[in-house]
Amino acid sequence: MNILHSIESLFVYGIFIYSAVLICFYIFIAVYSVGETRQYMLRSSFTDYTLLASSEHAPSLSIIAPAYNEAATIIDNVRSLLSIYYNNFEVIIVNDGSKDASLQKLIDEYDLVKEPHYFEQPIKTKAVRGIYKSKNPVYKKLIVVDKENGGKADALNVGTNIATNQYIVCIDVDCILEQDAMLKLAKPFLDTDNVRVIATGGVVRIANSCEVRDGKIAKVHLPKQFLPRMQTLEYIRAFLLGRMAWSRLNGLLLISGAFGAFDRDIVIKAGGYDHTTVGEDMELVVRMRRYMEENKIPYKVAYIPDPLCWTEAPASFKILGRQRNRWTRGTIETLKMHRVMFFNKKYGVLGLLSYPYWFFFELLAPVIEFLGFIFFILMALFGLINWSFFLALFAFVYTFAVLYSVYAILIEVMTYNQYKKRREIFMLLLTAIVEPFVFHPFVVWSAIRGNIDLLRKKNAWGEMSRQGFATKPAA
Amino acid sequence: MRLYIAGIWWHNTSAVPDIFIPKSFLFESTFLFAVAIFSLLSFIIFYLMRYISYTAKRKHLSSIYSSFISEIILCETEEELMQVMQQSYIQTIIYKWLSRPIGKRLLLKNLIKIHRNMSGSAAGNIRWLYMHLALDQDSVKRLSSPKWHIKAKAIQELAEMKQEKYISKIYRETNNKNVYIRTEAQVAVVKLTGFEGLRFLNVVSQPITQWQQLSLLQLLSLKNKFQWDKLPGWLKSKNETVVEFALRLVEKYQRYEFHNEVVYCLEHPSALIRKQSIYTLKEISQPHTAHLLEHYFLMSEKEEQLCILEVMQAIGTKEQLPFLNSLLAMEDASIQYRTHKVIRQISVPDLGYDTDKISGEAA
Repeated sequence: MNILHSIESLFVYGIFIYSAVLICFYIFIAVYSVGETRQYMLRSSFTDYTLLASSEHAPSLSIIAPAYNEAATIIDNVRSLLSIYYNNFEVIIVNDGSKDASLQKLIDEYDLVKEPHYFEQPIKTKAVRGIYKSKNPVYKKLIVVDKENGGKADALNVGTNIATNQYIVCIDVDCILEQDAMLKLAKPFLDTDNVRVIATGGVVRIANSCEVRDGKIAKVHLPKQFLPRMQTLEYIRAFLLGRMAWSRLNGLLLISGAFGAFDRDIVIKAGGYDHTTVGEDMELVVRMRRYMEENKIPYKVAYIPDPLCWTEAPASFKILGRQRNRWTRGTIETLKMHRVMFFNKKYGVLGLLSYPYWFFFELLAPVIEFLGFIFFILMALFGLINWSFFLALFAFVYTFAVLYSVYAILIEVMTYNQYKKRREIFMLLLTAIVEPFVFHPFVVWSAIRGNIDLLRKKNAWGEMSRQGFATKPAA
Repeated sequence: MRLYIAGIWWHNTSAVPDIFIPKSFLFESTFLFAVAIFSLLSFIIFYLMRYISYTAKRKHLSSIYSSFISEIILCETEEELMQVMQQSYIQTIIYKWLSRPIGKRLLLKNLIKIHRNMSGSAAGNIRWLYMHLALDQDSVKRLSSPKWHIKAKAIQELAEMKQEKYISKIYRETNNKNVYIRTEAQVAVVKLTGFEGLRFLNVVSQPITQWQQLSLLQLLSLKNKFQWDKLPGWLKSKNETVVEFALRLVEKYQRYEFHNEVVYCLEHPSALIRKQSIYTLKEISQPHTAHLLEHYFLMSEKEEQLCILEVMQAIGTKEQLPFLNSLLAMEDASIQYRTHKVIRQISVPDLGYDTDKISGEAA
């Protein structure tokens, strides 16, 4: 009995410490991020971004957009990329062995011809079938690469090999960019004196229900559908609080795969995107950081809290489940690949703080939550629950969760205030109240399925069909 | 919220949690959280209401200021300006709004914005108004603020309004430890005194970021009186970023007379400077530059070697072919690839090959 009691005590104390540390982290993130956001906004008020738009000394960017079976939207998406507000750039569309008419559509629309093209291949990739450039000088910045299907990571690697510029910008072809997104993304590379900025990323916002005109967000609205609205709140919390705090600590492990810029040289030295994982965006950032730490080169991963990129969030439980399943697998795979950093002081903040945080509170959390839930049901069935204590604890955790969300909404209102209607803010607040009961358990369940799929060695990306944006023709 | 269900673990029959987490603590905390939620909600509502009223007030004030400034811009003499200022509605603006921080801040913002897009007498009138309302005193006062953003904004205002008389106060800030203050101060001295303003390069010990260098180069492109006598000194500065900036100046203005000084920088301890020197030499190349880079190539690190090959594409001649052919024996794939590109470029320049469109058989 004593042994059993000791195990139980150890377990209960362990979970208590876990939860207490987690609460402390949340409080720390909430407080620490605010100062950084405020400083960023003040600094930004002194920045004339138009300087970059016209300067020949602006960092040269190669925008890489992998495309797989995107025939329906590819023409508009490429046009949107070619019209971005920046001077020194090229657009590389990597057709990843699409089975539809994506390539032919591009050839017809942009007057493309296959060109003999020799390029270095510092990162090994699937074979390139051909490189196309336009006969029309208007599209001289466009390069279309046709390659054998190898997945998103492989397509990005091909783009990295072909890129001729100093920085690569990896983007999902169906994202909508803000007009000044490239300027804001490029600036941190110039804004440093003694450390090398190896990557920059910005806030990704949810575009469901927003009005889209000519490939641009014309009017921002809070998503009308339930799931995208939940994700809006989740993104506000993650981007405005979490990533901002990690950025201030220079401990950011993830730059969203939807939109991020990287130092091409370091990407190549680190070995490029890993096509064996479904979390290639996170894995690359971790590997680049690891490379810099191991070579003792001072560096920084910069983060911009401005909304730069808009994306369509999954609106059905099925698609959302696939997405979260994949994110979980990606996280586990990345952390497993770089386990040498776990509490390794050689890696500084990365090894002592970022990695352990991701391990305990991103990787393990859904597992602990899920087992906790099972444990709770069993205890309830056996009549072993101390209900008054349970209710007290439940109320404590629930109010804390709502408080954290409401705080994130306050920061959103006081900074970027994207949702102008008061009704929308109230809807967001309502979302904060409902979220822990509906959305969160589903996310945990999807993460558990991700764990199971990983154990079963399932490595599929999972189809991510989209509904499309609510477009409005130009006035 | 990862925390949500995790808490369920430590609530069961065991009395263990009660030892360090009494129920009363949970109830009190819950109550506190609930109060905090309610307070934040109230604050959000209050903030939104205040924001709406502030936006409306700002809109209203902007339209008042807009007509006021329009009248000022059209004046041709100081008498006319004074007459405009005597109008009762302008007096009301001055007494009612300029005594309030919001009114003053907004007027300043509008003046700066309009001045930026004006020239000639219209811009002069804006500056007159700025002085007449003693807004310059306000800016100067804010120069001593301990808050960096207030100080930097004040410098920005004084520079935009061409307040040369405060140059010495601004100049003192060009080496400020805060990057934003010194950036604004450096931009301000160049705005106010042109190329001469670059004298801060003689003494600046803080780094000049690439962004700042870009701003200064852009600003200098609007000026035309250059003094190059200080440049050799900057090329030997202890501050690496000063050397880098000086190299960029040589590159941008193609100052061939500094060729030797730039060559000297090829041996600088900083890799960044060495790289910039190579690019600068491309713009001021002389018949022997390519040959000089050949010698330097063997002493360089790989990144510089790649830069040299890139520059060779532009300045190399058939005389470099023996050297380039010797590089093909190197094992490094990138060096080989770039060398092929240069050889092609040099061998068949008349075919108008874009360097990025080299035939696949090249390697």
